[in-house]
Amino acid sequence: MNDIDEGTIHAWLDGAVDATQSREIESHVAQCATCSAAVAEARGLVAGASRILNALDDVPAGVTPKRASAPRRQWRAAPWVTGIAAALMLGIGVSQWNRDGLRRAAEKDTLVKPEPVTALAAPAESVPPESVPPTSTAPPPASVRPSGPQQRARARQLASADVALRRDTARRETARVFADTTRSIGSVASPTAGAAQGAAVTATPSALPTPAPSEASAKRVVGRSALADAPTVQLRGVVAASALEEQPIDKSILSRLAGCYYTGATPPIVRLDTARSAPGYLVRAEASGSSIGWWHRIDDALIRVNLSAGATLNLGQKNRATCPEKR
Amino acid sequence: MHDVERLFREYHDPLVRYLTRRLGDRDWAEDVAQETFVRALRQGEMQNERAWLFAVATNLVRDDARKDTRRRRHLELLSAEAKAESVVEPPITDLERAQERALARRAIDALNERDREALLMREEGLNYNEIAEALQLSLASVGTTLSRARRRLVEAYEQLRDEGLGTREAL
Repeated sequence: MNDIDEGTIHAWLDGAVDATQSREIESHVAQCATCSAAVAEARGLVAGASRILNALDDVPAGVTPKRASAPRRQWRAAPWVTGIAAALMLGIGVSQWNRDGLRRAAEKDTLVKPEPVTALAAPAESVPPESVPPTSTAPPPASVRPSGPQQRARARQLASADVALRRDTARRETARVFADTTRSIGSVASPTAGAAQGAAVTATPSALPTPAPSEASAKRVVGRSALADAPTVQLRGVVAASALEEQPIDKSILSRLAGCYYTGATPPIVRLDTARSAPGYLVRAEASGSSIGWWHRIDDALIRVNLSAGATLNLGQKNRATCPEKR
Repeated sequence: MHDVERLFREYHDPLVRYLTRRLGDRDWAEDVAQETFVRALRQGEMQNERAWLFAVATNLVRDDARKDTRRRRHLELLSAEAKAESVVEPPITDLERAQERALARRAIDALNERDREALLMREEGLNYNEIAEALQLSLASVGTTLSRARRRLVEAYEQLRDEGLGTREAL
């Protein structure tokens, strides 16, 4: 046997040659110094390449504490979608908690589960206030910008998140999404109302350290979670503005949109319900029937689903599915 | 329905990892993976599921009409992140790991598309038949492709690392 070519050596190391050829190679390598050296080099390249590719993977969550967006374990949509989802969750939260409840929460400095918050915080905070309808009552972010090195670092993070969200579509959609959100949460006044209503609402408190959009508490926003920083003021302003708009989903549209959809994610099929929970219309896992989140109509082509687990899905006509036979 | 769940359970994570390494952007990777599984649902029977999924995902990446916009935004994000990161001093191990990751990223980008894809698929456990099918290569050429890819990757990485060291010493 002549000297073995490199491709064959790698195929042999990868277990891609048949038993006969494998035996031939083995016996040849045993008596051929050149090939033996080539095999050793190939083994080194296989291992080295593997190591390098492993280095491509993200560092584990929490290792890089300086970046609020570092924990990336959970499923995330594109930054601008995440931003809208975060804005949506904040909007839900702020409107849902009455002012007293929130002021109390702010005073107690209640910290909430950091993970879903931080994953959403950075992109969300960069929604600029000028995109909001002029009826916004929030003070401009500059007036509440905190001082100190940590906050300056945070401000720089947020500036970088600005880059991610410099999209007109995102801003317009945020305003529209808020309108939908506010409409769907209706008259929920108490923070505890959600507790009995299942997973969809349980997710909400976890996104919510911030106080209500009142002037007094606005200035006290500077808090311990990423969401409580200055740009959150912008979002509160947006919420306050959209609270003035009330646009329910037309019933005929609602029944047309409800039904089953393929998600291409977990779970694979969801059912959009016409029933409402506090933040919005219910989403159920089709397989189990349990409610797992809520949905909103963005426009004719797009439905936004927010799962309590923290993920956000975009569904369109292409995702429509026939609901399976009832068991 | 039961099939869908199984498909997802078995292949979603490796597919996302492959795509994340391929694209350097986890959000983009998740989007492509989602699109791939939606298509899988429509497909019905597949000869070789893993090869099919990786082939579709690979083609989606190549055809991604939004690739340029995404790439621009991705680059914007990267440079913005770089600026933001320069403010705070991370612990030493984070710094090393981040540097390794950046080096690895540049090294893998030095490969040509086919070599890169073949190598990343191999890392996710695809066998030679599956790689050949997914990338429309002849079975015989897979070994050569992988050997070339591995050599170029390691050489590129070492060269970049040495360049980096050289720069630091010169300062």
